[in-house]
Amino acid sequence: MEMKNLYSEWTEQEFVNDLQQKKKVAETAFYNYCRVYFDGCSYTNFPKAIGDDSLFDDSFMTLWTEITSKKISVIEGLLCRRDDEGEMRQMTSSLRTFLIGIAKNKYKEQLRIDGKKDVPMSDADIMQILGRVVSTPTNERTLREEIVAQCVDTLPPGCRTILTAFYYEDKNLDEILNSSEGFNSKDALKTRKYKCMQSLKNRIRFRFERYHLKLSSI
Amino acid sequence: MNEEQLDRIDSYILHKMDDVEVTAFEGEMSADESLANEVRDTEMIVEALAERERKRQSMEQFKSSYPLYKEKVEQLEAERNAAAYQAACEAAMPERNVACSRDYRERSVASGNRGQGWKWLSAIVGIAACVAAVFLLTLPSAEKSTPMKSAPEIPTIQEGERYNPSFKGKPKPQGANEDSEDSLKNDIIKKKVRGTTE
Repeated sequence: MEMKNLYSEWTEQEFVNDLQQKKKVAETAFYNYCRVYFDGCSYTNFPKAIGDDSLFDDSFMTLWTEITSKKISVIEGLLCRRDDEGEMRQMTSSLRTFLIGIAKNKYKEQLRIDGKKDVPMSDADIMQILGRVVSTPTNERTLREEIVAQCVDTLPPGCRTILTAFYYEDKNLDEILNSSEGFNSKDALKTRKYKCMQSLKNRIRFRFERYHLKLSSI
Repeated sequence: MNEEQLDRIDSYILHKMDDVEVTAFEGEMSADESLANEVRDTEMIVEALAERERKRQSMEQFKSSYPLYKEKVEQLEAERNAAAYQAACEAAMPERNVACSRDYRERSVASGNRGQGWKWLSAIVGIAACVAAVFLLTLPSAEKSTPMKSAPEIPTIQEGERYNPSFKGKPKPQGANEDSEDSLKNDIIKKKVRGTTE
């Protein structure tokens, strides 16, 4: 087994740069880097999710998307993340601690959905780790891509399945209808696809307005 | 944007238009900025969907290779620990170069055995606890099933008597322990009987 993907060969800054360049070896190493840490923390932090990979998968995907969409970047050798005002702030935690923060929020959300309403919902865990402003973004296209990626990442699973099958797997509506349950007719599926797309665009529009971006057609 | 417009954009993005339709559509786009923006934004969404799907597929690969990786890392960790121990051991006792590596192996084995010992001990304690619990649970029911015995005779201490814990029978009347004619007779009879048997 080749051990090039031993994560100790990377610093977190190098991980971020290599992931943004889509280097496969770095992606594998970053997965292992995060997974080892997550496994060590999960027993105390997520006792009700032991043996369930979906919490790690979702959290890791969110972190990975934040890096590739450049919401998390390296600026002047520092790990930075864009805050809600659109400013890049230095991160005061490691990426692995940040991953645990994401997972905690998802875990709380899941518990809340499961009916345990006494669990408070807040983004405090994530906001706490952002420090001083490092720079203000000027690349509008990057910010647009980042927002779109995040909105796609948080699509409801049903919508994501339909849109992925149609746009990525290049399946037509008849093929999707045959492979999925819950649709009586092609028209119903077509309407659902249209509504999913509209809903996604509305969310993207809302986020664009929040970041004071010039609206396009969305 | 209506459903029909989305259909046309989809056809354009997914290359399902022929050349004539493409030319006509691109002409429309250059004349209508909102349509051009709509196409651009839909393309951005499609790219994001593709990127996410690529990541999801990669994650499946990472997940399948992770156990092997973890095993290898643990093995490397153990080797690193052994080397560190040997280096420290040799530095402390240069005359024991060979013994240091053996020491480490023995320590590892001993710690492994110690772990096994705890397992055995906890298993034995567990079994003993189960047996005790079963015994205690069955005890009251056993008592119920056996008939009540009459209470044992409790010796009473008469007024003026001294308490003698070794005493089992009824208290003798006062003066019974003193030498009397009856006891002398009894002694004589016993001596006679002994004399005949011997």
